[in-house]
Amino acid sequence: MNESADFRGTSAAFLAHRHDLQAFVLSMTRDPVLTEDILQDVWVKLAEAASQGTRIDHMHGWCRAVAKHAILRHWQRAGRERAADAEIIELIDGAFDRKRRDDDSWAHHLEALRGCLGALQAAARRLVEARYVRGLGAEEIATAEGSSYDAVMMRLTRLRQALKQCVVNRMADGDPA
Amino acid sequence: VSDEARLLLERWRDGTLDDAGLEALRQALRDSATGDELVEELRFDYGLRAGMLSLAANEQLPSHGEDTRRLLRHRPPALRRRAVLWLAIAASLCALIGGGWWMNERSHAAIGFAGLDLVVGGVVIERAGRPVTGTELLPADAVVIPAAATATIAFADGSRFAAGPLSRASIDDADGAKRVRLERGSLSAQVASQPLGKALVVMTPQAEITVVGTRFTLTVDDSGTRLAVSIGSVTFRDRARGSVVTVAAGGSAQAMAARAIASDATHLRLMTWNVKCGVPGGVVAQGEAIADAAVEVVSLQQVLDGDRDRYQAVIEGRTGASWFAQWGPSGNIGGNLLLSRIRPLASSSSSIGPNSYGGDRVAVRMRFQVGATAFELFDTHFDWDPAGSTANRDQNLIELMGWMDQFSAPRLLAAHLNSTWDEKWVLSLKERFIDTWEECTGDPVGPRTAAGWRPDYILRSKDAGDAIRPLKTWIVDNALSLNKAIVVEFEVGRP
Repeated sequence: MNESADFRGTSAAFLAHRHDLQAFVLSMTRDPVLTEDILQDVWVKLAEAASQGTRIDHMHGWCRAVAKHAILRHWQRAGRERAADAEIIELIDGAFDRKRRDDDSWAHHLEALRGCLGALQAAARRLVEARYVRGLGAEEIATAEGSSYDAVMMRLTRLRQALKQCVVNRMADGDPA
Repeated sequence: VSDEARLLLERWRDGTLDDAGLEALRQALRDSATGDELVEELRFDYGLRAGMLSLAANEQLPSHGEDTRRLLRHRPPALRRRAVLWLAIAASLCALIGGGWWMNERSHAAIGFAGLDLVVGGVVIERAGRPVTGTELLPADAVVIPAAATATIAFADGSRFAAGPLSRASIDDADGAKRVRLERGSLSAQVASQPLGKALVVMTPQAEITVVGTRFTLTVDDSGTRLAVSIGSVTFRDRARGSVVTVAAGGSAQAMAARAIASDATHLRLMTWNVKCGVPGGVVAQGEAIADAAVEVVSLQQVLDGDRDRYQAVIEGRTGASWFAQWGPSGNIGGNLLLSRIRPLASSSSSIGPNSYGGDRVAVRMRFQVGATAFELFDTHFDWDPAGSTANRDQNLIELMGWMDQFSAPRLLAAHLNSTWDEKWVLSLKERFIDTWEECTGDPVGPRTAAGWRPDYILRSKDAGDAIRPLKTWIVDNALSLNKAIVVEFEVGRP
């Protein structure tokens, strides 16, 4: 099982930008399981290409292109023609490409964010968990809490702002933990 | 970014945006500054999810003992049950083969291209996505086998594929060459000789098996594809890794799903221990000590052949979990045994040259995927010549280095090297590896794991970088062996 240097290099490069790719896919699907499946597909296709000696000059773009096709296929199968707007996907793709974030940046960001999330009060944490981990919509959360859509959106907006500021502060302090 | 733009994005992702909204979102994104800010919002969403998951995992600490964070991706109970079920199914199919099921000459011959035979339960044939009646199978048909059902796909040339419960398989014809795709479940196969250049190919999500004429069992579940060949030989290609091996009668191969490729950071505890043939504490006490150390992987040296299953049984009994083993016998002094509660992606063993006590010294390895990182772990035991010669140990070093170089980085070596930190064998290894004890404590000499000196090491390859990083190390101080165990806690696949 002697792997080629090309394969190892490809694997390392893929892993080094997996967070950004995952963010890209999750941002469109909002479905963690589907996101994971698409990532696996991208990885398998990349590994196949590497094993066949295919030259890939811009791996980030290549991976997003494979993921885009998978997302579009999924949306078309699911009858979500309106979501499957190729131009919007291209524009988001372009923005991801313009402002890339490497793995080190992600690591620092996530470490800081973890610290901020750890300091949240229980109610705020439940809200973040419902929205971003369980993927519930604002309406579903409102129904579950006996609250209104607008109230949930307002709380989420404020919470995001507070967390963003907390991340900025922690990263500036150099004490992300 | 404006609330309006963000709301448009949210509604687009929910699929509730009308035409005017779509155009407004396009306009917003065409402005590169707005587009960039929206993407930062999307990244923040992902970060919130990753951060919460990581936080939750870190807080799942056991209430006893020190910081034994078990963040490894244990399979949920449902999957574990399914794995057990599939093992049972595979075993049943093997038993059926052994019992001469394949010798059944009943001629429910395939009609035309292929047909169903020996049907038990409500098996469905799907053609172009719709169920059809009858037993005839045409190219591109799929066979869906529910629970408590089985069926055999019989080709006109006599090739037969027995499909187990909860399987889904499809068949096709590619210019006269048969194609079988197993999406899930299990198949046991007897394949007639195929025409020259028209080999039968069985595909799974992870693997491709090229068959000329043979009998084999193939199982696909969430963790991957496993192949066991009983007669003849087949070519097995791991589709993700691109590696190709020929599996002969009695052999097996597996291709594991790359499920964990994008998971969060995990912690891994690795122990190395020369158990000195179970002396003086005995196998049971030593096994219990290993289990109590709460490690995920243990690298043992000088395990007697008759004891290797006992170590595994004691550790499994004490931890209540299944452990995977890779064994390498080594002359009369006991061999090397790797035990892991993480399922390895691959494992093997190799001779590393002569042993002064007869036979060969050996090294064993396992390949793991923990979190986002795939890595290799090696276990070995260098020679010690009572006559004072070091020639065998020189040879052990050369052969070990050559073998380890065949595998991709990062690599861990947990070994009894019979050498002090400043001797050439350790220094040679340290050209490519880092001593984790020295890395954690700043002390290159290390603890006295044997009588007054240290022959035991856990090394990590220099090219591992931050992919595998030692957090802390300690020795397990007991009198159960003449050697003490070293444990290192690693952070693996840091996000």
